[in-house]
Amino acid sequence: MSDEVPIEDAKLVKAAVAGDRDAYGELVERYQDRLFNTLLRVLGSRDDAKDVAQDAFVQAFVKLETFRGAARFYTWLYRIAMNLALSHRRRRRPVLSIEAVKEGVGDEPVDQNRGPEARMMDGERAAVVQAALAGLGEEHRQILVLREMEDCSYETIAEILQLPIGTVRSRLFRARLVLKEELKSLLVDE
Amino acid sequence: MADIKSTDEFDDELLSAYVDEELDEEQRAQVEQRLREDPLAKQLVAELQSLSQTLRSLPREQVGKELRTAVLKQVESQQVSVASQEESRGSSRRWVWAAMAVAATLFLMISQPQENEEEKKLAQAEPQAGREVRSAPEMRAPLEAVVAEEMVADATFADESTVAAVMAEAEAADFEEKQDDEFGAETAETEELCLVYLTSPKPVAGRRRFDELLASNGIDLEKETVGAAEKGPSSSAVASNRHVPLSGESSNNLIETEGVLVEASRSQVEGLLEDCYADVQNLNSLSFRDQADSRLPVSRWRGFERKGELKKLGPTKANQAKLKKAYPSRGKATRVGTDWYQSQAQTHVAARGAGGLRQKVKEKPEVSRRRKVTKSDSADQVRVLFLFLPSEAVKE
Repeated sequence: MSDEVPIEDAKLVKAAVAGDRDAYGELVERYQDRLFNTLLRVLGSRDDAKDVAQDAFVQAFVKLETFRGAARFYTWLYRIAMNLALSHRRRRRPVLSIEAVKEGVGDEPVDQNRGPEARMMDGERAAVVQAALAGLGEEHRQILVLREMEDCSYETIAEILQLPIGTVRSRLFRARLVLKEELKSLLVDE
Repeated sequence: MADIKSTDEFDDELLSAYVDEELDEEQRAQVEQRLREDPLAKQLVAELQSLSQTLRSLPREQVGKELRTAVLKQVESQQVSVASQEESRGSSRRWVWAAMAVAATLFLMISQPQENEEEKKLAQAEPQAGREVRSAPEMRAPLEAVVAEEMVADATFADESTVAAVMAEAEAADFEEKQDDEFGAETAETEELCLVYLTSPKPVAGRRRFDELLASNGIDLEKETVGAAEKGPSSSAVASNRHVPLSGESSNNLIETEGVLVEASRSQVEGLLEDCYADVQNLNSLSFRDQADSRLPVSRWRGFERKGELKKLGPTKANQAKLKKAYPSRGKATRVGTDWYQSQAQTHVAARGAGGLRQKVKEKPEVSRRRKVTKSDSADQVRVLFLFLPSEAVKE
């Protein structure tokens, strides 16, 4: 997620509050892919990611009247989504095995049009990484996904997760160290 | 893996922040100096960069129009009639939430000692803006816990969240068991009961804040307490409970169980839940009873759960003008005493197994008049049962 906020967001929110459903539909469309992919990595399941994304958008709509312009819409949306994801995960058993991850995430498309350096990893490798992510605690996984998948600045992460910046920095550091070890053990096991 | 432990005062977190380009000039210079001198630090940075690249290379997918369509459809569904909501409920929970014409009871059950001068003064010293009437008992805080003896005895209950969760789980199982065979199909179908547990580190402040949150979500607190108990706990619905005093207080204090019945729209209840979630200073734990087959959007509401996790969120400031516009149809909240509660439901707490706590809330088949009336008022009227548990007492 880029920290640049399209100025139209505020206008769309305003229009949606005034009853313009298409305006809200545009907001949904604007963020749905990003939010879905973030949730996919946080939750480890395509179905769950869709469910929670949908719930987050609906909940955001329900609360749109009380949305305060001081925050950015996507930050606010992501905060709702992350809370929902956390709650959702509590009720489910963690997905830890690579096979289970493949079941949840499935074979994902590889973008062949990109150069070899930038080419996305294949499904097998992605499943390993996802399994490593699944082995992390919720807080570590969330913060890593926000940073690496969404490219959120520390400030934005702090806003979404409601943490002091110093905590964002230290938590990210710890999360990376844990993930590094998780990945290492998974690759050795393979 | 590089040994990340430094022998000097260098903060290794800086290396991670360096990879993220989140350092100021001075810190960056410090890290670069370090990288020149310390091969392990250099190796760690390389590993972190590689790790970052790995995560960034994860495949991404496109959702397509289906999500937008589903969201808008669900948003629309919130305005359709009860009948259409019922119809849609069974079909596709995964993508289209069941429409929300359901009933539950918001019930804030608080037990408190008769006297505590310090809290009383505090309560009186701070006038309650926007609140017309408060019932007398709430000025007698702090709260005391009404918990089963076994709950306190069981060392596995480390904190209030554990207790709340266990309560929720055990109670839910029991409630579901009893629902069909004891309450009758009709009651179970029309009067779903949703339980939400709240704990507060500061009983008086927590309750006052809860009242404010009611107001800020367009829910008017009734002036009178319905069914206030005239006797002590022995007459209350929780008479079988053990009264656990807070430290430093007399265990002889009588308690009174009091509740707040909130009848409001779904969005108002959700607003209330979100605000409770946000206010960690006064309401530090919020948890739901599991309701897998609930017709209420409980799974969504659980997004507001916070189980003893003290997040540093500021209190929510309600924009009154906006709220008035947002909630032209006012919700209603009524404090209810134990007599009322006893007349509406039978509650008792009993231990089961190794510290298991089971709280049964059984609604009588004869549904109250007020519930019938309010239910017909609005298609999306909801009622949820809240239990307020003072966290300090549970920790004892």
